[in-house]
Amino acid sequence: MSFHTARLLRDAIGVEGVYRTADCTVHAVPADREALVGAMRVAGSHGFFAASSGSGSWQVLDGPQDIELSLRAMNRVIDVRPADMVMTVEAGATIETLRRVALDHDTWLALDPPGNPGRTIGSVLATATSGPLRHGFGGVREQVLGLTAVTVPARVMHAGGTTVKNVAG
Amino acid sequence: MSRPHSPDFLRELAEIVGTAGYRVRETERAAYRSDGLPTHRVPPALVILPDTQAQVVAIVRLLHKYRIPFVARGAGTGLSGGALADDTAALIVLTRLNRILAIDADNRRAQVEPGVVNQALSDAAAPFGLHFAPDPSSQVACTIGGNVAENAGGPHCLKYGVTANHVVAIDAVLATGELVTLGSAQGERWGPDLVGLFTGSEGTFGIALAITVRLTPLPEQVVTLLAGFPSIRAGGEAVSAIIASGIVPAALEMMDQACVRVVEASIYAAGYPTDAAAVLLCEVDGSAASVAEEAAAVERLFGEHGAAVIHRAESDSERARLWKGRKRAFGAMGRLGRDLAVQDAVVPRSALPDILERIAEIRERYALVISNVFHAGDGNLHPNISFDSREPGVLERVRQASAEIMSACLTLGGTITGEHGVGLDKIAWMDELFDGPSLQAMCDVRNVFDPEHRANPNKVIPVHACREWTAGGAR
Repeated sequence: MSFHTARLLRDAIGVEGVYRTADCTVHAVPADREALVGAMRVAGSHGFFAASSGSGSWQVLDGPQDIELSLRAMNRVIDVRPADMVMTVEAGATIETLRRVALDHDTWLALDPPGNPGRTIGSVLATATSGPLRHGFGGVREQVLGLTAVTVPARVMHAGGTTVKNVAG
Repeated sequence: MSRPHSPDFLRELAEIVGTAGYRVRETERAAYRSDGLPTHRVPPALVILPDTQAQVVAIVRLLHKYRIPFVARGAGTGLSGGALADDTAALIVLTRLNRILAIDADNRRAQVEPGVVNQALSDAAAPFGLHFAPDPSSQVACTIGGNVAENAGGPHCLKYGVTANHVVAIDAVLATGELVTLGSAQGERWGPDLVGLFTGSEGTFGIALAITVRLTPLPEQVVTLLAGFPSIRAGGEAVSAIIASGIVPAALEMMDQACVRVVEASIYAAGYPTDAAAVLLCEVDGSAASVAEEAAAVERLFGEHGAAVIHRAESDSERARLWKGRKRAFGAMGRLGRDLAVQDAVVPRSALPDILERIAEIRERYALVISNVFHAGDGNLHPNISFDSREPGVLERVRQASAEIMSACLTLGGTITGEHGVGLDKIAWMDELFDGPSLQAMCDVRNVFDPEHRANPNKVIPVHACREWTAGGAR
């Protein structure tokens, strides 16, 4: 089964990012959005269970799954607008990266999630793990203005935007 | 689906609210045909005025039995046509559910019914040194249920956050008549953020019966500063400079000359400089030490950006007067025309000077009176078009000018509404802003709460985006 899954995924996103682990889960590390959407399309059309992960430092994936999709290679900082104090990053960018880029622009990230600073912003969002700063600055949701997500089967959707205030939809 | 005025339905309704608890006469229904936006007018088929939460639940269950659509309404101060019901729907007016159920000062929480007026909660919390931070300009009239529905904002949301940041739990009745409790009064959030989802859903999920909100301590000290600038651009740049300096003012509001002059001519005259092209109102609050430092820094930045007038309010009464002019500006605009279309859009803060020049150009081209009063600190614009709806063709010009303004905001990376909601007024823009899969995702979420689309039908999400609905499955 898992060999078949791996083959399908390799056809969809390339040999580089796909390997099979000892426990027979197929591990896929899409390099970009296109590859991620391709992997979700495979999962959707074949009825595979897919679970997402980041750097693997925080949450143990313990549910039934055929594919573990790690977002860790999608770690680019897409856009920084210091005048608007807004940054757009891929889900696999690490908290460490976000902090460094913010500091480069004399700003800071008002999130101090527990765990390794090498954990990804995607994992912080997925699990809504805010740290002590939540008391004064609000939780994870308060810091996120918009996002693009892909669901099974390969539906790419957008929510919010890049303005501080936004109640459309 | 039954009609809301069928005799069987009305007989059962009377068993819940009595014959005095609903309105069917045309003249009585006419009072509810619009909200705060005069460009949409439609009388509801029926108006229901429940007194208690139990009555609301019974009404929603009865509407479910007869498959009648309904629209929840608070004070009707909304500005997106969101609280309008047409001749197929019942309007449920919640203003009688105005009880403050609990104030827990130690834990800074309050639980209220949806019809509690925003300002009334802050007044009730004041003896405990607390207030409800979201402060829409209509706060003396608007209800907290309406604030939740629209995810309302206000001048002080720059520092304190919008309604969604202050709601922690909601007891609601869904369109199916089921009762749900979302969130928790004290606990850390866990699982899907359903309170966040409900807040801003514009009445399309169901009706909130009891809302638990966060209360915020009143600041130790407040300083309100006023500055007049020779150009809109200079004012806009001062705004960016203040934010870039690291200061987060409690509020940072801008008014253009048209707005300032009309306020100064009205009973809300606040002492704004009428010769300035732009007036900024900046409030800093917090501990005495930080306020002194920040106020001095803001005054310096005002000066560096060419402010001709810089004034610090000297007393609480002067502060109140400066704010009254700002918050009642919409009322003062009655002097410019008998109708007012209050618009709402957002651009990234750095794009403020550009968008204001675009709006000025649109105003000239359509020969309309447009005055700007807005939340400069977060880029939330309110270009307000004054007009006389009796003038032939003017409504079309207002619509076209509004459309051009929205389009310009989108081009600059902004959005179509920052705090007033989509409602009826902005629904045509949803296709511009979101692609098919994103709209479908919104439909899917809505279907979870209201599978028959009877709660505030035809609002927020364009119908054609919902595949299963247009296929005729749900109705």
